[in-house]
Parts: sequence; C-alpha cells; structure tokens
Amino acid sequence: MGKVIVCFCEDVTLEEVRRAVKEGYRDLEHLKRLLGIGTGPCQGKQCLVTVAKILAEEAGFDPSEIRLPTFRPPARPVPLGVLAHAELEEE
Amino acid sequence: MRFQLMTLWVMGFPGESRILLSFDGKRVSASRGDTVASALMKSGFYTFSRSLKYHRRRGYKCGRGYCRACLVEVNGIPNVPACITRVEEGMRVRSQNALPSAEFDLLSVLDKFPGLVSYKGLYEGLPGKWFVWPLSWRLIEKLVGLGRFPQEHGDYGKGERVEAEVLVVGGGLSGLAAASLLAEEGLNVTLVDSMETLGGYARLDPLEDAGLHERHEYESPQEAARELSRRARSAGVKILTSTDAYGLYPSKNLVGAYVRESYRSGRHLAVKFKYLILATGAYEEPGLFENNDLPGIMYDYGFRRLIVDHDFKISGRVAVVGRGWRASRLAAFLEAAGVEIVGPYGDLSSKDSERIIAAYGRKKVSGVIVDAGNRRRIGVEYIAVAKGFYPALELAAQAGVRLRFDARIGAHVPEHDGKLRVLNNVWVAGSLAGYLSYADRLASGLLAAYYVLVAEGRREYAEKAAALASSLRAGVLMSG
Ligand code: FES
Repeated sequence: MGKVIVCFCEDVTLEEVRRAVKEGYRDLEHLKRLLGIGTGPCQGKQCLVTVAKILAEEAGFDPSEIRLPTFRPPARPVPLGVLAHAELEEE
Repeated sequence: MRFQLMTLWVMGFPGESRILLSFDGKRVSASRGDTVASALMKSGFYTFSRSLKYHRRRGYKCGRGYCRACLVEVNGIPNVPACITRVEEGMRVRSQNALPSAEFDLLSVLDKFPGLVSYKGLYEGLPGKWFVWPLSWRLIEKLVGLGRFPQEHGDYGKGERVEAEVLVVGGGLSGLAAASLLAEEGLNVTLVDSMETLGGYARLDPLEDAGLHERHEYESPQEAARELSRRARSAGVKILTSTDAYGLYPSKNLVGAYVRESYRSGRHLAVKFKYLILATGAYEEPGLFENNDLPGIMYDYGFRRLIVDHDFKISGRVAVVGRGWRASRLAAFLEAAGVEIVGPYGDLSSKDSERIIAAYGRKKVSGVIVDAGNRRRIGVEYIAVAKGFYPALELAAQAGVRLRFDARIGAHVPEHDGKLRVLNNVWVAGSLAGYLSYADRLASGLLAAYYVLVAEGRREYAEKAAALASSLRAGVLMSG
C-alpha cells in the first residue's frame, strides 16, 4: 500500500490524520501541533484545506465550524538577510 | 567529458544560445527562457530533492513558487525554489536532503520505517525506555531536516520605501482590472505580483470563455490578461513583478514585500498605502490517492506553465484529476495542444464512479490505478490535478480579517461587508473573495476599484458600483 500524503512538506499521511481525529483531536491547531501539518516550507498552503475536510468528515462536523489556525507573517518565505538589510520604519 | 560537451554544444546550435548548468554534478543544457525546474525536467530529472522526513521524491508541482516541493541548492544557497528561478550560466544545482543524491538516496529507507523519524512513533514505540530518547532525538535531528546551511551569502540591497495611494496585491484578472481602472482615474497605483509575468491563471488559458466574452468582450482569459496588463502599464501603474507580499500591518497601513532579483539577491519593499486591494488569488487543491507525491504529478497551473512558457514537449499520456469546470478546461486545453489524455477522474476525496485511487512508478509516475467498479491500470507519463482552488487568504487573516467558510467553493474566504471591504481601507477581489468564473473574477476587481473611487469621494461611481454588484450577484448565483 502506498502512502496518501496530505502534507507534502512534513510527510503526513491521510491515515495519520484520520487516526488522530479518531483519537479525539478536534481542532486544526491541535492537529498542527501533533502532526506538524502547516509547519513546513509551504506553511499550510496545500494541506490545510485537505486536513480541514478530513476533520469535518471523520468527526462529523459541519465544515463551517472549523477554525483555521492563526496566520502570522511572513506569508511567503523571505531570506533573513532581506529583513536584516531592510530600512524599516522607525517609530 | 569532452565528447559530452561537444554533443551538447552541437545540440544547442543553431537554434539559440544554450546555457549550461549542472545538477548533482551532471551537465544540463537549458535555453534562456528556462527556469531551473523546466531545464531539469527537459533533461529528464524529475526528482529535485527528497522530502525532509521519509525522504520521498520531490519535484515540480505548482509552478508558481508556493508549494515549495521544488526546493534545490544553487551555488551553495539552500532552499531555492526551482520553478521561479531563471537558469544562469554555470549554475551548480544540487539536490537537498539526500545522501548521496536525490536519485539514489540511501535515507529513503526511512520511508519503510516511519516510526524511526516520528516523535509520536518514538513515544509509542519506546514506552518507558526513557534513557534512549535523547539518543534517538539526536538521530532524528541528523536524518531529517531541510537543506544545508548556506555556503554563500546572499546579496541583499538596502530596501525601498514606496508610498502608494492604492496598493494592489496580485496581478491576475481582478488585480489588473482594479489597478488599471484606478490609474486611469488618476490615482497613484502600485501593483505587486509574485510571478515574473502578470496575468495570473488567466494568462495560461487561451481557450474561449463565453462569460468573459459576453460580459467583458475578451475572447479568452489569456487575451484578457494580456490586454489588461497592457492597460495597466500604459495607465502608469507602478508594477513590481517577482515580488512576494509577505506581511500586512493594517495599523500602519503597511505591506512588507520581498522583491526577488535572482536566486541569491533581492531587496525589501515597504509600501505605505492609503487604500489596499487584496487580489492574491488562490492555491490549488492536491489530489488524494496513493503515491500522490510522485514526480510527474503537477497542478493545473504548473502543468500549463510548462507548455505555455517553457515549450515543454509532453510525450505520452496525461491523466487529468478533478471533476469541475477547471478540469474540463484543462482537458480541452491539453487536447487542443495535441496531448493524449485520460479522465478527468475523481480521486479518494470524491464519490465519483471513476476515481484514481493510486499512482505508481519508480522514479516518476508511470501509471494510475482507476477504480470504476473494477480496477484498471492505465499507463501515463504525467498526472495533472485540477480540483478545487482555495483562497490565498494569509495577508487578510494576518490582519485580523474574519474568515468565513464558503460552501460553494468548500474553503474559507475573508468575510467582507457585502461591498468587498474587509477593513476600513482594505478590499478583496477575485478568487480570494470566492469568485469562481473568469468573468466574475474580473468584474469583482472592477467593483473593488469602484468602491475605492467612492471612498475617494468620486460619487459618480456609487451608482455604477451598485449596478455591477447586482449583476455580479446574479453571475455568482449562476455559476454556483
Ligand atoms: S514552489 Fe516550485 S513547484 Fe511549487
């Protein structure tokens, strides 16, 4: 059996997400901390919606009840050197 | 070696001047328009690196810099996205997270023993044996990880501060429509887009679109993208391409962005805005089936881009995944380009009668298993995934905009006040706002621009906005 990947950055499988929901994890933020989804180089741009759908299906939620995790800058990867050289606002 | 050099030189002659680079020590010849990703794939290298935990093969997927599956090391700089990095003469490209190389990675045994590299597996597998934990942790930290430390320093300028009356983030149909209208109305407009060429998805879709034609008089999304880009330019919009807006700080009316100049250089950009239009577009939904991460499996945009921008020759069959209008459009596009396709199929997430349940292949995809009551193996060279798309809502969400689940698109969208406004001086448009069809996306960009003009005291636009809003509502109902 091949793996069905839902988070390509952190190699998290469909199986693992389903199991975690069965074990009682009911929140994307918790699944993120447990499995690492959304914490890799793409920062959740591919996995979040899929995982939200699996959660809704397995836990019998209405998708509108699902809370997305907190979003923080940077929305895209930025080399630290760019920020270090930037003249940011002095206030 | 000399012989190899000779043949490459001869092959590249007389069409155009060739660029030589290397990948894990092997020579790769590219043409000027190539990105590192397209050059590698044209030379038959589909595995760029290995995934950081199970060391599975990773390569090109989204084609526009967000999935980060294509990261490679270039001249000692790690984590360079190959799909948005132009080839340069003499580039030394190396695969990441692989020992000794992405093609033959000894660490791929971890794929067979997942417990070894999972903290959870570790806890479950070693109950009570606390004394081995520190050792195992150290081992995990050696085996998994992303890239090597930089061997070179990047070259980053001092950064730039820009004041804009209007900042538009995203240069797809909606962003372009908004920016060009506002500039034509005399406002000082800055537009940033993460790609090198403006036009978003529409740019890669040359087939006729009835809605666009009826409501906006463009033949095709591609023509609309081209025409609107031209208009934005001639109206004097300050355009910054290859620029990633990474942060929105609403209390300071500030957007932070990173202008990528090359794989090793770039500069910071801070844009102070009076009005902001977010038209950041959408990401694509991955296919769900076994081995859905094999190289050769790409998203709609990435697949189109190879053909349109890089003149990539598709040899062999392509399986299309997705059941909506985007999958049908992709199928039609591929057929028009003379590519043999199978599908479109559903996948494990759909209840379709014909679903792809698995892909197979050793180094890249070589076939799919389709379940249609009975199971069939079909040989294919590529899989193009065109399922749903979901809003790129990071900037809005960072700024504290409430998110609302939109059942029509099956994903969250920023919640607006009914007039596309999400914050006092911030509007959303296009697929970010949940609009699906090209015609609606374009119209919502215009509408956002109307609202900005109204906010700027241009009363004559209030009526226009009301009319367009109601036709857009009707349009949305039709496409929903
Ligand atoms: S980031 Fe390069 S293919 Fe997605």
